[in-house]
Amino acid sequence: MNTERISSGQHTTAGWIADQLNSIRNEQALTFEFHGKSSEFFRIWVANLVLNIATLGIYSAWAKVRTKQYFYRNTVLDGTHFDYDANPIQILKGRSLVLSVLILIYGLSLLDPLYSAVLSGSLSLLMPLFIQRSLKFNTHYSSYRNLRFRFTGTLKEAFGIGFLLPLLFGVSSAGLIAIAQRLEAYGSVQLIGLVSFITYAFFFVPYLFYRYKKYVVNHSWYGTSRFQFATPFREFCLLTAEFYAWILFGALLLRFVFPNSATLLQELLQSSDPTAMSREDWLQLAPILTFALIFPLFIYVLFIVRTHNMVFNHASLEGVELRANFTLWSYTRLCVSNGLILLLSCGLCWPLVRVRSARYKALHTFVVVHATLNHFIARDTAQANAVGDAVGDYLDIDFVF
Amino acid sequence: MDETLMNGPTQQLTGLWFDGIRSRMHAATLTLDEHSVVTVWVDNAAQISCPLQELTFARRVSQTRRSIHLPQGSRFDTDDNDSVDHWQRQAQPRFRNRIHRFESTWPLMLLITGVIGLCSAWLVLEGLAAASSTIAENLPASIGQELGERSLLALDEQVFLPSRLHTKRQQQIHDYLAPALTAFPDTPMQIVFRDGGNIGPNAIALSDGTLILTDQLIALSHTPEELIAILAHEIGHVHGRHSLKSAVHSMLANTAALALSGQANLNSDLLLSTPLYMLDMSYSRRFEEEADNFGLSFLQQHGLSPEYFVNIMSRMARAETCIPEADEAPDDYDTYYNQTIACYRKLATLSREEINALPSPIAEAQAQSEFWGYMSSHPTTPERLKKFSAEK
Repeated sequence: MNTERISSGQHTTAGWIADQLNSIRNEQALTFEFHGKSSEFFRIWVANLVLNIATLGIYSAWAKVRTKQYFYRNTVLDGTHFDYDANPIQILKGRSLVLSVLILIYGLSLLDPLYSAVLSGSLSLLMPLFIQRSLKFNTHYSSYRNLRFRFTGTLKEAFGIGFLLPLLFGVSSAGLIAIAQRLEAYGSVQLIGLVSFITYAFFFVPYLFYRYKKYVVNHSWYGTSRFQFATPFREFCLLTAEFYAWILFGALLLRFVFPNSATLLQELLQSSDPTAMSREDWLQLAPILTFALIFPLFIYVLFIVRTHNMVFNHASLEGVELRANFTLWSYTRLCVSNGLILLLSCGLCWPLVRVRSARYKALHTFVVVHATLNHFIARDTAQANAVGDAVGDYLDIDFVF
Repeated sequence: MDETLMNGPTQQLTGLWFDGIRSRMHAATLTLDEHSVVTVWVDNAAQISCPLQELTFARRVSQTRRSIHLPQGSRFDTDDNDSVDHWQRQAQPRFRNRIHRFESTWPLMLLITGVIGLCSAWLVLEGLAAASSTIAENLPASIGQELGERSLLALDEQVFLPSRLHTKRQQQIHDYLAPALTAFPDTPMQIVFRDGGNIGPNAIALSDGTLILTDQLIALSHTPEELIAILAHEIGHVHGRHSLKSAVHSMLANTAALALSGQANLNSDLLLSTPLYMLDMSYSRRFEEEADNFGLSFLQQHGLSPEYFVNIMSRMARAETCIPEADEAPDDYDTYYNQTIACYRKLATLSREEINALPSPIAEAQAQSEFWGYMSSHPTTPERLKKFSAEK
């Protein structure tokens, strides 16, 4: 027992003493565990499908809650599981809204594609709203040890990150170029253009990403404790630069190692009738097609693994530090095997794929605890309602436009 | 087992208790006595009591740990799902837990999976087509009108150029073909002429009854009856409302894909867009067959030989020989136009044997592998012509 740590504790109830005596732990790593089985989940999934079809999709809200409950309740940390208790009726409302809008878009597209383009365009503009609302909804209904999680990110900040920042950057770059043109210093127009491009690609893009991740983590709460986001901006910049380097590498590979295949591919894409190509042509295309399949997968895996580790390894809660150790190789193995399973089973083994992914994530995520997980305190709900944080305002929209 | 417990003195569950104020977990037991009062015990000290009716039971999800919510926000978790079900039945006599029982029967689940697989297959292959046809047939005519008008505008903007045929020649062809159109008083149709540009010799039927004939097609035809044969095929498309049905089918297929995957924009998703593309193409092939059949019966009804269709189609299959290679193509469009038109006219004068002797890259590829049949919008030319050649 580390006496220094006891004296630095803030809780002095009688229970606290019992805590220290009952659970003598130093800093230790606790892994997440996933106890779900694909055979179990398969049955839930099939039942969901059947009831969904029978109710023409109305049951999908209940299906979603049930699925989430299965995954949350089977995720265990330090002997206790997580929980999800959203009201399916609310999810149903959100989905009905989305469906009506989609029907509207399709109907309009038959009349005049302009209307539907305008409508879907304006919906894309509302993305920050959907993201913020979904985060609020799903976080509120997630709990651990009967204490709720919470998301307090504001709509203003969401729109700020989604629109204001890019707008600001675009306007300032355009402004600088306009000024340089006025001064008739043509050399500097190109220089400013180049500088803007570099700033944009190497600093602004990672900055947006950084602000988004920070938004999601920093405004998440467990009880009365707030999550802290500490990933340095420099790591985002390095990741972006690495990303560009790989893409450049891929392009160069394409250009110099497969020059014939590149022109063949171009011809294929331009011709309206793929049947006009002979078998020999297709054999020549094989290496470039393999490359076209593997390279994006590699980039995707790189991105997911690096970002996940980067965010998790610097995230913390009061007395708890999050950690993740996804690896490129193991995650690639997971993605490829999942893909093969789906392909070979024509999608019927989807529950297996989901369970495998959940197991992987649990296995590679853990927390470092300084004492126990017993010190969190719930938020005073009476206070919450007074502030107007009504749950009825939350909307769950999970379609990707 | 259940019955004896129900009448026994006290029922007990072991598990964990969370008071809802702090995250601390307590090993606890939950007891239900003969007065239907529930009590939480931690270290033999009662924490909270309440009547059984005030408990809220979380829904059972397979074998996951079950939660029982007590008033004032605390929660009791236990792994003993069966006993909790039993308690729930006592608290809520109408409780049935149907969904869990439904999920638990293995044979039923397997049977259902098989049925779903078969139904999905049917839906994709036949059901969507049937639904699109029904919907398209019941849409008001104005929609077909609008769609057709807009299609023509788009084609004129992107592909077609104004026809270079002399107005007299256009009138001549129009007068020759007009009687064929009057055979369908219910479906108003009109013929327009265009310079086909990159598309070359072709005829297109739009959903408002507009039939487009390209200059190149006219140059490729040897006798006027051949144009009637092509026209009959196109009228088949208009008669069957194929354009509109295609649009509806595409919309339905995309909606179905959306419902399954949750993604509205499939352009970047190869795994989903490839089956959708193949589905579109199979639907299109179906229509081409219908139009071919319609064309054949039209020709037979009017005493015209199907040979006319075979001849013009054979020529069209070899029309590529008239397209110059990229490095040999003339720079200005006028020369290109005149050159290709002259070539088509020359093809029109060749006999059947001479035509068949010409190379046709498409036909060769199609002869090599059946797989390409699935990726193309038309049935292979040899297949189509077989039908017409047989009926002589």
